[in-house]
Amino acid sequence: MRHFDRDSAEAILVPLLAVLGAMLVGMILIFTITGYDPFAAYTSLIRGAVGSPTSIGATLLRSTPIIFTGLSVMIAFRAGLFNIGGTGQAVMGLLCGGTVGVYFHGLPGASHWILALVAAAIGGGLWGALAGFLKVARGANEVVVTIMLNYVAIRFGEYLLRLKGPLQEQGSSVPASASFADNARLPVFWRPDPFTEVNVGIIVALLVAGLMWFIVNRTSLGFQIRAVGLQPDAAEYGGMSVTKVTVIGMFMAGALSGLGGAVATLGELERMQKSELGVIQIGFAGIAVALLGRNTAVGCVFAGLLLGALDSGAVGIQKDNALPAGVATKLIGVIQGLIVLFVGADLVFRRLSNRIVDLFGGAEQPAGKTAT
Amino acid sequence: MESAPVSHEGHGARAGGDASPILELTGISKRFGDFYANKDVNFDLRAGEVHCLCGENGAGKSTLMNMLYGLLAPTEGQISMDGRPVEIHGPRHAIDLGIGMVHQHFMLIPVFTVAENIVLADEPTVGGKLDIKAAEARVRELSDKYGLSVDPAARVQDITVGQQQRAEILKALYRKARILILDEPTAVLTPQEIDELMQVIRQLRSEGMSIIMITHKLKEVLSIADRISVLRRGEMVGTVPVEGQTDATIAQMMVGRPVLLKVEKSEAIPERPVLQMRGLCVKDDRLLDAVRNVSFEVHAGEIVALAGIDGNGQEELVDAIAGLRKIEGGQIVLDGEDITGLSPHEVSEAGLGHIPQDRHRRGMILDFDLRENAILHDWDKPDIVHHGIIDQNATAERAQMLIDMYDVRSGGGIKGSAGSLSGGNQQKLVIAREIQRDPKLLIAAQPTRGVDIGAIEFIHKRLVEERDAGTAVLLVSLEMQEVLSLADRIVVIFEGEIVAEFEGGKVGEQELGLAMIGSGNQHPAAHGIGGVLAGPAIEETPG
Amino acid sequence: MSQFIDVWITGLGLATLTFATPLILAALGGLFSERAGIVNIALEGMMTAGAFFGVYVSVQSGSWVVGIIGAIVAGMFFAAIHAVATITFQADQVVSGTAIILIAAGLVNFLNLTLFGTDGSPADFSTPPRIGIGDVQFSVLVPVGFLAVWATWFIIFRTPFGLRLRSVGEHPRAADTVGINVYKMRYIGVLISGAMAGLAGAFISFNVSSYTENMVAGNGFIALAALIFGKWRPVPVMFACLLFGFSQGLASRLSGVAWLPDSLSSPELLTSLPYVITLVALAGFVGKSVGPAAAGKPYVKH
Repeated sequence: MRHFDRDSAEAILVPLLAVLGAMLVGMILIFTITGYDPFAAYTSLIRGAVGSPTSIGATLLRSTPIIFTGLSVMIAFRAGLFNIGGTGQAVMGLLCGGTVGVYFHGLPGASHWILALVAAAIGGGLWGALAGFLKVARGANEVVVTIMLNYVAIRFGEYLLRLKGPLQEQGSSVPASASFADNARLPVFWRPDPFTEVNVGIIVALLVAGLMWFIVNRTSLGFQIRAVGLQPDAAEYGGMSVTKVTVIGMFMAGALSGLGGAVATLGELERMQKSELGVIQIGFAGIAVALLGRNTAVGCVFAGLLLGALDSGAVGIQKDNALPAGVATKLIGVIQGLIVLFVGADLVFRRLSNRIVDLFGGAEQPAGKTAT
Repeated sequence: MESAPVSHEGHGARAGGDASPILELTGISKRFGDFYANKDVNFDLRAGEVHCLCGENGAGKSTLMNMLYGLLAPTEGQISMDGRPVEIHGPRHAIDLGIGMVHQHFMLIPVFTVAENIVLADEPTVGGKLDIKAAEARVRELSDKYGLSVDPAARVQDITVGQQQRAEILKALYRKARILILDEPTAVLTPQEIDELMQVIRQLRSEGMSIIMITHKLKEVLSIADRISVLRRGEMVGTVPVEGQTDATIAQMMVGRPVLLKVEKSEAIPERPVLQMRGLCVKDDRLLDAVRNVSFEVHAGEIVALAGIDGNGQEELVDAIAGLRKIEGGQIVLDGEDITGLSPHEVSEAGLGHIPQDRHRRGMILDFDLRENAILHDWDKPDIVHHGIIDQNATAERAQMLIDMYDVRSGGGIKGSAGSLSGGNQQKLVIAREIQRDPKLLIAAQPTRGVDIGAIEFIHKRLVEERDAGTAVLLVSLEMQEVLSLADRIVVIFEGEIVAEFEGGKVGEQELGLAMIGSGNQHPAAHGIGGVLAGPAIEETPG
Repeated sequence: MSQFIDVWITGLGLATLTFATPLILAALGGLFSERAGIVNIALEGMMTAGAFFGVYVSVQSGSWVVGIIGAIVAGMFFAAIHAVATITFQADQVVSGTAIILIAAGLVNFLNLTLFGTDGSPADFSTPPRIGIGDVQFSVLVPVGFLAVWATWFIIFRTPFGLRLRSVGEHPRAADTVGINVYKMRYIGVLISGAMAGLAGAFISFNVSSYTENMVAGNGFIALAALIFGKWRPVPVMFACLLFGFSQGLASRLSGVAWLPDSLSSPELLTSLPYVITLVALAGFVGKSVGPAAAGKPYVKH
C-alpha cells in the first residue's frame, strides 16, 4: 500500500485541477458563443505555447514579468498582506530603470542594465513601501491603497511620457522617451528565429526566485516575515517589530514588481512608451501566479511558466485563426480569472484531490487531529 | 411532590420541581469521527427546578446543551419534551419550543443597543418599519418583572459584563422561554454580580421557569441547585438531589478520584530583588484603568504568586512588564535596570522569560514546526543566526534539546507542527524554551491552564527547580490550589490594586478567598461565596 | 460672465452629478454586501458587466428599460459567483473579488468582440431619457441615484431586514443563535450589490451611448473608497461620491484650459486627482475606520 501524504498531493493536484477546470469552462465558452471548434483552438494554444522553439521562446518572454509579479504577491502574502499594487510598482520600476537606461552614458558592458534593474527595484520598492507605511502608520487597508497607487503610477507615467512631457524625447512626435543605450537593454542569449529574441530576463527571474526561496526559508528576515504573517501577536512576543517587518515586506514586494516592469521594458522595447503603460496588467496576473504557485517561490516559477504559456498560446491561436481576431487574448483573461477563482474556492478541488489520493492507495490521517 | 429540603439559610421554600419531567434526553450520543463528545447520556429536567450540570473542562457539558439548543444534532438518542419526542432542527426551532440559552461567550452584537439585541429576529414592527419604542418598552417591562435592570437604549459595548448577561437572559425571556440553559454564567462576574444572578435565578424558578445551569463552581451548585448531574469524559456519572452533597462528593464524581495536589518543596532562600514595581499604572483595551498604582517586588530564589479573580488587572500587569502594553505611569526595574517603556525585544534581552497566558496567540505559532517555535526569540542571536542566515543545525539541536529536556511528545518529532501537539505538550514546549534562556525573572501566567494532570505536576516541579536555581518567579494564577501550594509569598490583586500580601503556608483558603473578593467585607460567607472559592483546582482536558 | 457660469457652475455641477451617480449606485451596492459581512472589491467587474449588457440588451430589445434590467441581471450574475465562492466555498473574499474582476473584464471584452464585432457597439439605440430645463439636463437615472441613498438608509436602519443584515455582518454567530439564516442574508446582500453595480455600469455606458473597453476605468474602486470614506453609512457615502465626482468633473474642465500652466492642466495628472484624494482620505481622515466587525471572515456553522 503506498501512502501518499495528502498535503503534498494537494499541493500539486489542486492547482492542476483548477487549471483544468478553467480550461474546461473556456472550452464551453468557445463552443457556445463563437461556434468555433474548441479542440482546434486548444491545439493551436498548445502549439503556440510549446510547439516550436519560437513558441518556447515566446513563452519564456511572456512568463518572465509575471514570475516577478507573482513573487511580489507571494512575499506580501507571506507577510500577511494582499498586494494588488503590482501594476503600479511595475510602472514605477520601469520608469526608474528606463530613466537609467536613457540618461546614463558610458557605462561599460553589463553594468548598465544591471544598474537599471537595481534602480527599478528601488523605485518599485519605495512605491510598495509607501503602501506598507500607510498600513502600519495609519491603518489604511492595503488592498484599496495599492489599487489607488496603481492608477496614480499609471497616470504619472503617462504624464512623464506625454508629448512635451519631462521624459519624452525632444523633437519627436511620438509620446515616448529617447531610446535606451545599447548596454542598457537586456542582452539576448537565444534567437530561435530572427524575430524572437529571448533575453536574460528569464535568467534573472530564475535567479531572483531562487534568492526569494532562500530568503524566505533560510534567513532571519524570512523567518520574521513568516512569523508576522502567520501570527503577529506571537511575533511581537518574540521581540520582532511587526511594523518594521510589514514595511520591509512591502518594499520587497514592490521591488520585485518593479523588476518585472523593468525587465519587460528593457528586455523587449527600445524605449519607454506612453502606450505601453496601462497595458501592463501583469499585476493582476501576478496574483494568479502566486495563488497557483501556492505562495512559494518555486511554485511561482512553475505557475508563471504555465500562465506565460497560456499567453503565448493565445498568440498561436491568433496566428492559426482558430478563433476570431482578437478573441484569444480576452479568453485567456477569462481563464486566468477562473484559475484565481478555482484556486481561491479550493474546497471542492481539495475534496477532489483527496478522493484521487485515496484512489491511488490511501492516505494517512495527519497526526494529532481531534474533534472539538 | 418532594418536600422542600432545608439546607442553607436565606433560600426560603424550594419548589423542588414536579416529579414528571418536561424535558428528557435518552441515550444521547454525539460523535465526531472516532471521538465521542457525549456517550449514551440520560438526563431529565423537571418543571420549576434548577438542575446543575457539572463536569470538568471537556467533559461534554456544552456539547450536550448545544444539542438541546439545536446547534448540533445528536448522533444517537432521543430528546422528548412534555413526553413527546422532538427533533430540534436549529436555534429557531429550539426557541419556538420554549428553550432559551445564555452562552458562556455572549451572543450579543456590541454595536447594537440592548433592545436591538433582544428583539433581533422577532422585531416589533409598525407598518413595515422597526418599532424601536415598542421594543424598548417591552424590554423595560420584562426588566421590571424579573428584576433584571438594564438600559434598553444603551449600546452593548458600553455596559458592564453583568448587565450584558442580564440582556442575554432577557433575550430568552422575550421569546417566552420555559426552559433556560445557562452556560457557565458566573465565570465572568464579580462576586456581587454573582449574588444578584443567584437572586434572579431564584425569582425565575419561583415563576415556574425550569433552569439548567452548566458550571464547575461547586459552591454555587450547592447554594442553588435542586438536582445535580455530573458528566465525566462525555458520559453521565449520575444525577443526585442536592441534599447531602458536599463539594468533596461532587468533585469526586467529576474526577473519579480524590483530588489533592501538594508540591514538594523546601524553604525558599530569597536574595536580591529582581523585579521591582513602583506605582505602576496601566490601561486596558477599553482605555479604562486596569492597574492602579501597583508596587511590589519579587526576589531571586522565590516564587511570588499574584492571586486574584480573572479580570482584575493581572493580564494588563504582565503585558506591561513584558513591554507588550503601554505604561501610563510608574516604573519597572528588572535587576537594577529600568525597563519602563522598553520594547518586548529589549525587555527580553534584559532578562525576562515569559510563559504567556494565551499560548496559542502569543506563545507559539501553530503553523510553524517545533524547530521554528524553539527559536521564536532567537532570530537575532549569534548562536542561531550567522550573517542573517539561520543555522539549521543549531536550530534543530536547540529544538531537540528542549523536547528531550521536558519530554514533549510530538508525532512528527522536531519537524512536527506546533498545532499537532496536545495542550500539555505545547505548554511544556513554551516553558522549556523560556527556562532554557536562563532568565533572571520568569513570569508564568496561568501555566497549567488547559493542561492534563501529569503535565501539571511536571510543570510545578520545574517552576520550583527554577526558583531553587536562583530565578525570580512571578506566578499569575486563578487556581487557588496552585497558588497555595506553590507560592512562597502571595500578593492579591483586586480591581487593579494590591489589597493583601501573605506568606506562603501561613494563609488558608478562606482568608485568601476573602482577600480576592476585596476583603474586609463580612460578605456572603453565610450561604456560599459564589465563584470565589472555585471548585476543583485542577481542570482536566482530554488531549 | 455667463460663459463662466456655464462652464464652471452649470457645467461643473452637471459633470459632478454625472460622475457621481454611478459611484453612488455602486458604493451603496457595496454597502449592502459589506454590511452583511462580505467584502466586495469586485464592484469594478460588476459595473463592467452592467455597462456592456445594458447596451447589448438595449440594442437587442430596442428598449432601454429592458437594457437596464439586463444590466442588473448581469451584475447579479457575477455577484452570484462571488457569493457562492465566498459563502458556500469560504474562499478568501479579496481573492474571489479579484477573480471576478478578471473574469468579468475578460468575458465582457470577449463578448464585445464576438457579439459587436470590431466595429463596436452600434451608434444608435434606446437610451434613458434626459430630464431638466433648458441647458440643465441630466439623465433620469440621476435622481434614481439619490433616491437610492434614502432607500438604502431606510432599509438598513429602519427595517427588520436591515437589522438582521447588519447583525450578520457584525456577529454572525449571535445572529445564528437567534435563528437568522446567515448564509441567506449574506447571499441577499451580495446579490443586491451586484444589481446596483450593474445599474451603475449601465449608467456609464448609456451616458455616452456606447460601450468601449475599459470604460469603467477604475470607478468601481473609487466607489469602494467612497464606501470606506463614508464609513459604510449611506449619507456620508453619498457625500464622498459627490466629492469624488466633483474632482473628476474638475479634471475634465481644467484640462487644456489656457490660463493654467501646461503641466497643471494636463489630463493625466488631473485624472489622477480622485485617486490621490482617496489616498489622502484613507491615510488622513479615515485612518482606522471600523467596518462591520465580521466582514472579511467566512462564517462556518458547526
